[in-house]
Amino acid sequence: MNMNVPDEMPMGNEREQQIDDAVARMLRARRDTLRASVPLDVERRIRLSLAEATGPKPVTPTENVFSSLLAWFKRPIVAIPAALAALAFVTFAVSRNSGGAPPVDLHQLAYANFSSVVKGDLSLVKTTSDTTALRAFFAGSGVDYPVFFPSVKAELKGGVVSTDNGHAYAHLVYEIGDHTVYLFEADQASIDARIASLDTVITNDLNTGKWHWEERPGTGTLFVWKSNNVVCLAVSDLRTQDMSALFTLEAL
Amino acid sequence: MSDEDRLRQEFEREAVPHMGALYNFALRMTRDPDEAADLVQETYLKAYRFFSSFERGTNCKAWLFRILKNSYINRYRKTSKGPDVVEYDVVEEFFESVRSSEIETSVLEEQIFDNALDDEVTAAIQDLPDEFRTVIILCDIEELTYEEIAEFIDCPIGTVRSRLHRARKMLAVRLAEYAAKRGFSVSKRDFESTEEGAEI
Repeated sequence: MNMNVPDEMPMGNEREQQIDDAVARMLRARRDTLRASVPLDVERRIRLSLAEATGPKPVTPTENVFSSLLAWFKRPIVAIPAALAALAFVTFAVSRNSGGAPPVDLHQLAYANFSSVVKGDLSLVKTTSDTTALRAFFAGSGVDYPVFFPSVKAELKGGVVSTDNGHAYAHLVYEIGDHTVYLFEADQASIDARIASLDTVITNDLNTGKWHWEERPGTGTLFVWKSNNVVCLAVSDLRTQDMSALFTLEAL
Repeated sequence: MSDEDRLRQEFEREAVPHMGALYNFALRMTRDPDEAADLVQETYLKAYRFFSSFERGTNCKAWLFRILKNSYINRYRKTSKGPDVVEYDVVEEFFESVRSSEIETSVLEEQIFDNALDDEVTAAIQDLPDEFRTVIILCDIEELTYEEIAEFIDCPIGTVRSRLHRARKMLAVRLAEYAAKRGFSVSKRDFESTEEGAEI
């Protein structure tokens, strides 16, 4: 029989109520583990769409010129040839663009992810300080480069994997007291393949064997270094001096 | 700071932290990560557009869930899909199966619920028909009040209680089945009154 269930039913006996209570207790106790966490790429996509929707739309003096041009292009005698020309240009541009999606900006993403970690919006998928288990987790999640575990005077809380432009990246989170250190690792190969991109100042620093430090007041401190072919971007709410004290030089 | 900046900051503070709850619910309802992501994105964009109409001091999470529900319904209408129709016989069978037992509830609870694996609980929730899965997630996972759930499902509070009660029973039966598979000696008598002593 296929029908909708009537809305009101008798509540049953005391035993049923006890089972009811037991199920409710069990579910509430497991609330956090039963929730599916938002994948990193999904969260970023939503945040980006929100940023686009909520971002400021400054009016520039050139806007009036564009408005006039737009009105002119809307005239049918101009619009049809213009549309054909635009189509031809787009076809040409697409045929020349081999990459498809734009490269992931590692620099900006590191800050954005750190913010998500601090706010609790980004949850660890593998919560352990066991680096062997984390290596296995990363490898099993599609990270195809050797993840680097620096010597940090903070507790390793675990890791999570993101997929950007079809490439898997490893992320680690450390904690010390009330402070968080977030580490984003990307392989040089993904930068070379233009799947990911790195700010030119940082690239120059790394290419000349330097470490890159920068502080964004109210956002975090960024520390970037390179270990073999892995670029490591660490972000923390600590100031540069305090954050640098956490990392053991030899280990980098 | 402009009004727009203030609104943006307030939205970030009030609405964005509930992304996990919305995604979890969307995923459980659609069973499709891409569809769930689209649904949550659509929800947030709509929520921001109408954030000025959000009544301050009320539960922002419940407000977001209502927007998500409307988006969900609209999507189903667009794709000509409909929510599951509950198999009444199946529900009734579950409902009747838990009436009598000889084992203490505390023992049952220890054997079935405490030892249940998280994956089993998740699977059991997933197996519930839409109406029952909705109330279980909103009440026991997301902690919405009966009033908020009633508004969400557009039914009286009595219906919320009734559905919740039945949904928990269905979960109990399903978890008992899992427990039996893992070797716990859960007798069918613990949950059924018709076939005495038979093992699940």
